[in-house]
Amino acid sequence: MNQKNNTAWIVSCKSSKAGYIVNDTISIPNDPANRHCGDVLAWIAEGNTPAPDFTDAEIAVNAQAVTNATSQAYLASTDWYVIRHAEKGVAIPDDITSSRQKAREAIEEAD
Amino acid sequence: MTRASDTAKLLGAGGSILGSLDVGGGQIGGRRNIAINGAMNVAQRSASVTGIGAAAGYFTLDRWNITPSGTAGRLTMTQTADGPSGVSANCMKLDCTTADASIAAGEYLVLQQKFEGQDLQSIGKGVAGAKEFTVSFYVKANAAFDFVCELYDTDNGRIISRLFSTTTGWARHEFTFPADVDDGSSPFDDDNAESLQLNFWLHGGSDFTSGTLNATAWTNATNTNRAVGIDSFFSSTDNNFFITGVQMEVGSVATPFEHRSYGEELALCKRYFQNISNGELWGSTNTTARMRINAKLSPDMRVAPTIARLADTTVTFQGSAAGKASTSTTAAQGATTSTTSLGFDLGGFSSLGDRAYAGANSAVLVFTADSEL
Repeated sequence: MNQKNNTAWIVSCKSSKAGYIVNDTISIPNDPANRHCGDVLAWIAEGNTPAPDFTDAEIAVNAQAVTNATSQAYLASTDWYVIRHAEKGVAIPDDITSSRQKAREAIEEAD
Repeated sequence: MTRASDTAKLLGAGGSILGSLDVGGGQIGGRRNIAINGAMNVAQRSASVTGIGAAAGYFTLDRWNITPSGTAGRLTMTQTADGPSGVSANCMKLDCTTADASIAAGEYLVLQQKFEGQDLQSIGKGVAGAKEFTVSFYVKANAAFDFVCELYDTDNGRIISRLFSTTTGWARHEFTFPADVDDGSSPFDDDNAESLQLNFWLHGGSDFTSGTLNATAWTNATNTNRAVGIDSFFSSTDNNFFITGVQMEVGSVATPFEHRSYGEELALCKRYFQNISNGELWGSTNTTARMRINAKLSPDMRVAPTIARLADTTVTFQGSAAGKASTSTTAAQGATTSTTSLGFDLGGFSSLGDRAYAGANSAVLVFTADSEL
């Protein structure tokens, strides 16, 4: 009896940037000095393979979320052109109008 | 001050000498107790957990691991306000809730505390000048049982054990273990990994009980010698076992139990486990649905910890105007934990607009950080 790694508690395991995500609720660093990491390494040694960090669908959702955030930020930063046009009739530069249209098209609420 | 001739005399009434303490051995001044949470005062995880017996783990009192294997027996572990007067108000209570009268060869139940090698260097184990050290503890039970107190040098696979008995009242047991000079090749590693276990054997099959108890000198571990002569805690659902006042100290004398303040003990425990409250978190938006969250770990932890999301709580943040709550019950992604801080991404938000958010609801515990041995 000494330091036997326990793998029975691992129901699911995904690789992550810095280690593993186990049972969807536990983030474990890739450090063998961490006892839970020892359990994961033993689980792998038993022939199991961690799922990839993100599925293709999750990657797509994350990428879209980043696009949405960037586009919304651009629209917010250029709203003043629209307000100035509405209040004072100053024309919105063509490149701003074009870029704002591209930003709107890029936004798809993925959440 | 390390002169070998330095001794302190314990004087009784009329000046009679009750005993002496070796100052050079370090038993008088300063912190004596190497064990943490020996008074059973700190229980960050929970005060009581039922159904223990299927898997090892830290369930209630900090630093105290219980390791079962192969047994059908189950128990409830509770921090109980029933400690011996003048020692500790609290103790650990183990209550057998499912008996296991058919003990297979490989079964066992061990209550243990594990120690980092760097905290044991004063013992000098395995080298010339190695010191004796003494373990003392208070126990009681519902009846008379024999159990084993074992020291297991996990760096070098060496053990030594002592049998002790319980009664229905509190009794202190004191065991001085000899120095292990060995051949000079078995010191404790001077690092943050496990080097020693203090084990209390409460149940064991013939794989651990069929030999001869190794009680006189350190020797290379043989499983059959490790728990010889013990009774089984799982023999009946009537069984209860109580323990507190656990002390491990350098030297040949069991000094009175060293009281530390709750704050001191809690700080020592937090090196191995911390609850993270919502109010300790800071978040910066990286998408409209996701935040990068950071928190300081204090004190520094033993190693980069495991971060677990607590069920049935909601992570909430306050921005410049509105509060935002995550609906995610999943783990942090992209965790970049260290011994000093944690950082991870948490999804499940909607329409995040501010650049930065501060954690709200400071009293709500939302994550745990675990770097136990």
